[in-house]
Amino acid sequence: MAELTETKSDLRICCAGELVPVRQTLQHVRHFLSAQDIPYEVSADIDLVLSEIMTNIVEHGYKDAAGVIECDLVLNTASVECRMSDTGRAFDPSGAGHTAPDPATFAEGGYGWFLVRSLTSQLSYAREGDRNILYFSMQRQAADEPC
Amino acid sequence: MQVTQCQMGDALVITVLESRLDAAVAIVFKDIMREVHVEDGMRVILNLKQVQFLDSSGLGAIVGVMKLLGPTRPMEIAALTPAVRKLFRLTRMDTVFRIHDHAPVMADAGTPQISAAG
Repeated sequence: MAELTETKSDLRICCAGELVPVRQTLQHVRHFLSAQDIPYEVSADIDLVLSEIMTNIVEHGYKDAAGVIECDLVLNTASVECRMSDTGRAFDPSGAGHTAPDPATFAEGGYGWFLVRSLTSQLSYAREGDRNILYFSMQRQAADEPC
Repeated sequence: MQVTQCQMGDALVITVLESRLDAAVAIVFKDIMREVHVEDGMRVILNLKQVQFLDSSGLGAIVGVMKLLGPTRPMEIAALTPAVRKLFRLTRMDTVFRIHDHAPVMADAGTPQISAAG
């Protein structure tokens, strides 16, 4: 269902593009990050970003056809870099999530890419052949602001 | 996933017994909440003490439940863990929901009712 390959500071994930495997995979990712001494707040942010992107791939990219989600997580001294790849329907998030829904409208969706944008830097997208390739970077240390 | 419910005064406290409220369980959560009977005029306090992780799908489900309950059964939120609090802050949902630091404590040790699915 899901395959995780760990080296000392990297994690390669290959996960079925379905919600339950994504959930289970992200629980493994949390264990890995915790074992790598990644601060809890940062680990929670990584979990959230991955969850938003992977859920989007499952619900939109793989809406009509099954597939897998690949994710390479590289832990550097100051940053965490991630490259995600899927063969689902093309989706360029460049225009998505620049603003959050107005809270007063009590929207039930539309927060995902806003959260991804809020918590990542260098978010970039490319369509390579039949693949969506998404790259982003995050800080490895917790920001000073309270969680 | 499971929730427990416990009436305290004019409030029904619903505790979510789940550490991850994500896309995989969001619909189940909504279905469970749809089955909970809430009298008109009663407040609903959603106790998220055990929820360590919430994503936008989980948040959407909470907002959806609030809408299902409607204005005569206002929903409030209690006991946000740090990551959940951060999500409420980033989405500014902390400005529109009444949020309590803690859920009300049971005066007597009555057995809470458990609802389960999934």
